[in-house]
Amino acid sequence: MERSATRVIARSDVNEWLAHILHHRDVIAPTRSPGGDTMFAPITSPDDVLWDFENPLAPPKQFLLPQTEPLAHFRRIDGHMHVEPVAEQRERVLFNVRSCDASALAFLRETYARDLADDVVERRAASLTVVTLACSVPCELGFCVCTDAGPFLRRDFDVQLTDLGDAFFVEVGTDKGRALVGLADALFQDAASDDQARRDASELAARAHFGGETCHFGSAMRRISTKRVADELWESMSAWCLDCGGCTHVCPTCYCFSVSDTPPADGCSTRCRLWDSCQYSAFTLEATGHNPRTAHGERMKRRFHHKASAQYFQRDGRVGCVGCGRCVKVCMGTTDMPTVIAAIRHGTWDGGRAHA
Amino acid sequence: MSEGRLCERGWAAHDAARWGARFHEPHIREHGVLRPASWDEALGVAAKSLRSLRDRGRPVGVLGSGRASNEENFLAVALARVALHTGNVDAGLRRCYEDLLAALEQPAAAADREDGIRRLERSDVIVLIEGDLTTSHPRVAMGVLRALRRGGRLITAGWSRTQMSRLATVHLPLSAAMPVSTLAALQQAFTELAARGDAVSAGGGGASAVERAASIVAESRRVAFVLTPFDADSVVLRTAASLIAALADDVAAAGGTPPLVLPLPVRANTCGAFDMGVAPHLLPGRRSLEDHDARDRLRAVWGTEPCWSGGLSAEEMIDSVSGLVVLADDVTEFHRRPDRAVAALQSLDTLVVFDSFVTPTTKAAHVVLPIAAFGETAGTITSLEGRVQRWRSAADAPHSIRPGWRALRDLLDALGATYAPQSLDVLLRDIWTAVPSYGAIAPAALDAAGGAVLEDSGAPRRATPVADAMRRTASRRVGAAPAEAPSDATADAMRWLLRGEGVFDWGDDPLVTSSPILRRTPASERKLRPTGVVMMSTDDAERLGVRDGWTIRVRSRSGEAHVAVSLRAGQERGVLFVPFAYRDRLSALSGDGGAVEVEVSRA
Repeated sequence: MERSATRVIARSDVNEWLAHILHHRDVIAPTRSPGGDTMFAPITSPDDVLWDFENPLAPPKQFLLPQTEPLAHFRRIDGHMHVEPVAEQRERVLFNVRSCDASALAFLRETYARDLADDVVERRAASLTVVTLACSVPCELGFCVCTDAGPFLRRDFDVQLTDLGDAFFVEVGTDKGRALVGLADALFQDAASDDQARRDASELAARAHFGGETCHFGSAMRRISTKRVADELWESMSAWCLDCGGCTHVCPTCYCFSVSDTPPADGCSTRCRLWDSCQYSAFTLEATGHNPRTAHGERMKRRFHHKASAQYFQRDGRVGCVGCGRCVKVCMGTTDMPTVIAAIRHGTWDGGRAHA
Repeated sequence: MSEGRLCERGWAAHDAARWGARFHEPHIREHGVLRPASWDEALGVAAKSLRSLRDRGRPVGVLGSGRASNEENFLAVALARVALHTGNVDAGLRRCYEDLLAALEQPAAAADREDGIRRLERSDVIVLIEGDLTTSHPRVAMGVLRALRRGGRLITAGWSRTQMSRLATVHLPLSAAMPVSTLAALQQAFTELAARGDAVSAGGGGASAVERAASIVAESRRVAFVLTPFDADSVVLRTAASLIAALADDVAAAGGTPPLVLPLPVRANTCGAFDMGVAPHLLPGRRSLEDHDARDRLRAVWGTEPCWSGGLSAEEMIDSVSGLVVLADDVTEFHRRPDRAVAALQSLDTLVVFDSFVTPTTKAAHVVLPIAAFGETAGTITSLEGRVQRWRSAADAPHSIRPGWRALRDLLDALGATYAPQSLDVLLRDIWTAVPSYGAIAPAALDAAGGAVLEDSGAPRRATPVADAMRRTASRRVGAAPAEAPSDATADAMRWLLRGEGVFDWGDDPLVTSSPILRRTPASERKLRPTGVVMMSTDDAERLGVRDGWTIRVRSRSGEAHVAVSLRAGQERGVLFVPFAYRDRLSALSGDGGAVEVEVSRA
C-alpha cells in the first residue's frame, strides 16, 4: 500500500533513523568544527548532527559544485592525448539543510541541466538526497520570504522535517525521499490531522517573524528591466564594495566558474573547474588582454542584473537569490543584497546607512 | 581579526597549497643543480655549512618573516642568537612598519586599551595616509567603511585618487617632490585653528583643502589616524609618522578624546614576528638588547648564554653575509633591486631556505627545506592590534613536507643547539615564558573566537623610546616647509619627476601567484606590458597626446627606457610613478629609488 507523504517520527527515534542512513550512505550535516564553527561536513555518528544551529556561513553548494572540481585527467601517451573523465558516484544525503539552501541547490540543478546539460553536475545531483529542516524560527539576517525560498518549502526537498517539539513532522517530496524514510520505515507513523495543524501553525508563526517588511524584489526587478537604474548609481555603490568576492563565495546560488589545468605530475594533468567570482576584474579578462568590464561599477551591475532582472527571472523561473542573508554577514563593505535592492528601488545610495 | 570576513587573498588562501609550485622533499645543490635529498642529508649539509661559517667567523644571518607563525619566528631568532651566535636576524618589510612605529609612542593614547579596529569603526573622522588601502589592508578599509556608514567623515592623503579617496570629504594630494609637506601643513593649520578657537570658520568658503581638513579634525570628538607604509623611503615614513604623532598630541591637548593612531604593517604576522624578536636591535617582547629581565628569561628558556649583540638589517644581510637562512619569504618580493638581490643570493657561500613554494630565493638556495603551507600547519599569529590567534591545520602536508616549526627545530638540533623544543605545545609555553605580554594570556583565551588581545599591546604603544626626540625633530624640520609643493611641470617646460611607489606588490604574494583565479590579473598585466609601466595623470596624458597603454620614452641622466603608461585621475601633474612591481625594469632610470628628473616624450 502506498504510504502517506506526511509522516511523523519521534524525536527520540531520529538518531536511529540517522544510524540506518549512515549505514547505507555518506551523510553531510551541519556539525561543529574543531575550532567551534558550524559547518556542513561529513558525519560519522548521529550525535554529530546539530539540530539547533545558525546556518553555516559556507552553504552546502560545495557538495553539488565543489570549489575545486577535477573533471578529467589527461596525459600524452605515444604522441596521443589520453583523456580520462573523473568519475564520482557516491550516494550522499544532505541532512538538516535549511530551506533557502535547498532552494538554492534546486536552482543550481536546474541551471546546469539547462541548454547543454552538464552531466557531471547532473550525476552528482541525482545521487544527492536533500533532507531539509524547516525554519520554525527564521534566522536574524534571512529574507527568504521575499524570494519564495522559505521559511518552509513547498518544493525542492526530498524530505522536509518540521520540529514539533517531541517529534518531527516529515514531508516526503520525492521517490528519493521515500527511499530514505524507507530505510527505517518502522520508526515513522502516518501524520494525524493534529500533527498537520501543528506544522501549519509553525509555518504561520515563522512567516509572521518577518513582519510586513520585504526586500521588494519585484519593484527592483521592474526598475532594472525598464532601465531605470542609472550607471552613476552602480558607480556610487561600487566605492563601498571592497572587491573581496565574499558575497559570491558564500552565495548558495552563485555558480560562476573558471577552468584550470594542474601542472603535470608524472606526465598527468588534471582539468579542474574552480569557483570564480564575477566581482573579480579578471573574470571577464580575455586572452588578448582586453577586459570589457574593468570598472567596478560595471561588475556590480552585472551581478545584480543576474540576480534580480526580469530577463533572468523569466529564464530561471526564480529570483537568483534565496534570501539566506549570508552576503549581509560576509560583506566587508555595505553592498549586500538587501541594501543594494533598496538602493535600486529608491534610485539613491546612502552608503548603506539606512541599514546600519 | 576578520570576524568571518575574508579579503580576496583570504578566499583563495587554500589554493596555494594545492596549486602552488612546491618542493615535495628537501633539495640540496650539487654541481650547481638542486637534487632531491632526505631530511637527514639536507639538514646535515645545512648544519655543516652554517657551522663551518660560524666557526670561521664569517658573517651569517637569519631572515624571519611576517608570513610565518609566531612559533616559527621565535625559532628563527633562536637559530640566529643561540645556534649561529649572531644578532643578524630580521625580516623583509619589518623596517617600514618600524619606521611608522618609531615615532608613534603616544602618551595621550596610552591609557586606552580598546581594540584598535573597533575604535576606528566608531571614529567621527579618520585621517588616512595611504597608498591604496583597499588593496593593501582590506580589513582596515572595512573599518573605515563602517565608520563612514555610521556617519563618520574621511580625510585621505595620498599620491592619487583611490577608492577610499572617492569617499573622502577632503582629499589631500601628496607631493612627489616633498611628500610630507602636506602633512606638515595640516598640523600647522590645526595648531593655528586650535590657537584661534574658530574651527568652523576655517571650514567655510574659500578655505584650502588643508584648512578644511584641519577644521574637520578640530570639530570632531573621536579622531583616528591610519598610517600605511605608503612610501619606501624610510625618512619619509618616519617624518610622516612624526607629524601625525605631533598632530595627535595637539588634538589631545585641544581637549578631544585622545585620538587613535593606527600604523599598519604590510604582512599578516609582521607584528608577531616583531614580538618574537625578529629585529636586529631587539629581543623577544620588543625589549632592548640590554634589558636584564628579558635576558634572564631568554637564558632560562634557551638554556644558554645567547648572542646579545645587535646585527644587520635584512637588506644589509643580503648584501654582506656569507651564509643566510631564509624562512618563508622571497627576497625579490621586498628588495628594491630584485636583480641585485638574486645576484647577491647566488654569491652566498651558503643559502638555506625554508619555504612552501618554489620562488627565486629557493631557486638560488644551496639547501631547500620544504615546509607546510597555510592550512597545513598549526600555530599562532598576532594581528596589527595585538590580537593573538591560533591557526589550525585543515589538511596534512603532502609527501615529506614538514611543519615549519618542526623543520626549524630539526635544524637547531642538527646544529647541536641547546634549544630544540620537542613539541608545538612546549614551544608555545616557551614563548609564554620569554615574552611576558604573551604569558599574560590564558591559554584557553587563544581558543576563543577572535583569539586574545595582548594586555600591554596596541602596536603604537609599544614603540621604541626614540619616539619623542624624533617627533620633536621632525616637527621642527618639516613644519617650516611650504604648505604645498609646487608642481614645476607646465605644458611648456615639460619637466618630469620619476618616482617609485609602494613597498610591495599584491601580485607577488604567493597566495596570488599560486591561485589560478587571482594570478590572472597580474600575470596578464606583466605579459601585456613586458617593458614596464609608469602611472601618469590623465591631464599629462592629454598634454602629451598619449592614451592608456601607449608607450613613451623616458630619459634620465643615467639611462633611457621605453615604457607603457597607465593613466590615473587625480595624480600629481608632471610626475611619473613607477609601481613597485615594475621597479626592476626602470631601475636603470631611477637608480636606487627616490625621485629623479626625467625627460618624457612620445615613443
